[in-house]
Amino acid sequence: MMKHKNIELLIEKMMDRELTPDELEVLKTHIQHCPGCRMYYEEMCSINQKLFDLIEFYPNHNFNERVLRTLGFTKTFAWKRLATVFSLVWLASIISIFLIPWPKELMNLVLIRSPKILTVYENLSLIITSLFNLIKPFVHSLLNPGYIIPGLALSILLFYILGKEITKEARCSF
Amino acid sequence: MSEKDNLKDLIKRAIRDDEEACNRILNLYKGRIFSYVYRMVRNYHDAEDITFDVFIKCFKNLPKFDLSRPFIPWLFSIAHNQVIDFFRKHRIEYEYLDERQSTEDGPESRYEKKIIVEKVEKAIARLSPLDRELVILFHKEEHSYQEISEILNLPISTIKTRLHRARKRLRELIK
Repeated sequence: MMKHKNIELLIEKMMDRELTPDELEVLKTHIQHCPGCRMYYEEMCSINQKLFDLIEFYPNHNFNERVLRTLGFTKTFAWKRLATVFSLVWLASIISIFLIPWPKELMNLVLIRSPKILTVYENLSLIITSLFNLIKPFVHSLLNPGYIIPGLALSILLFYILGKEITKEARCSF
Repeated sequence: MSEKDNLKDLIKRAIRDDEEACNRILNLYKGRIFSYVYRMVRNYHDAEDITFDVFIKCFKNLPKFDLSRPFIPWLFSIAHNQVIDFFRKHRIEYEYLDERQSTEDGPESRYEKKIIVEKVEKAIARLSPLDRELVILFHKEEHSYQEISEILNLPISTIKTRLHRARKRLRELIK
């Protein structure tokens, strides 16, 4: 039978992930008959497992944004958001083209009941009209989606390219 | 595509200033780096500042990174250097046990008391910073002796001896 000191060395080798299959066999045979070495073996295995199972800690939720902002990606965030919002507003305005004119009776009823809605309606009309003027080159016929869809796709593409260019600029200045 | 190729692709994209790739690298490794740094300095805010500096250095030096070499040990070596700088600034002895470090019982430790591995965390905190670092890198991060040697710039024999001693000390502390 192997000496306890040698078994301790084998356990250390096991912890170092350097134990050969033969040595593992020797170790297992020994600990079956030696309570002292078995206890040491089990304690070391338990430490190994507990260390591996340690939980992972995380930094603050805005950590990525802080790092990316320092690297010069701030403007991209703003432009990406702006492009998304603008595209959505544009889409909404195109959809509204199909819905206009709304039933006059319904509109009058709503507007009379709440003057605030009238103000919002007027502002919205202004935005929609201006956006509509912007997409006019793409739209020859109001009810022809064949012009509207490529127009929308082209505009999203333009915003994407614009965003990329701005990113490059921001990185260069950084 | 293998995990290694995926990572290489991510690094190449990050070098080309791809924001999405940088964000993914952050998501992949911020937890591991932060945990390592936090266990070394034992303070949440300091750990966050150090982790922040680690990633800024990482992205700035990424174009110089040799893609044929493993990325994770390289990232850990940056983290290690940042931790050493922190210790130097705060005059904390790196190789020997520093009582100011080991006996601290701040708000983080109140939180730690709630977790199952509280005893192990406390025992690790009582090791010297170098031993603590070896235990984390070898047992938690599963780095090889060769990788640890590259990260810490220490000979493998020294690492082995220190780690054996650290494990024995941990065993005594956990008992």
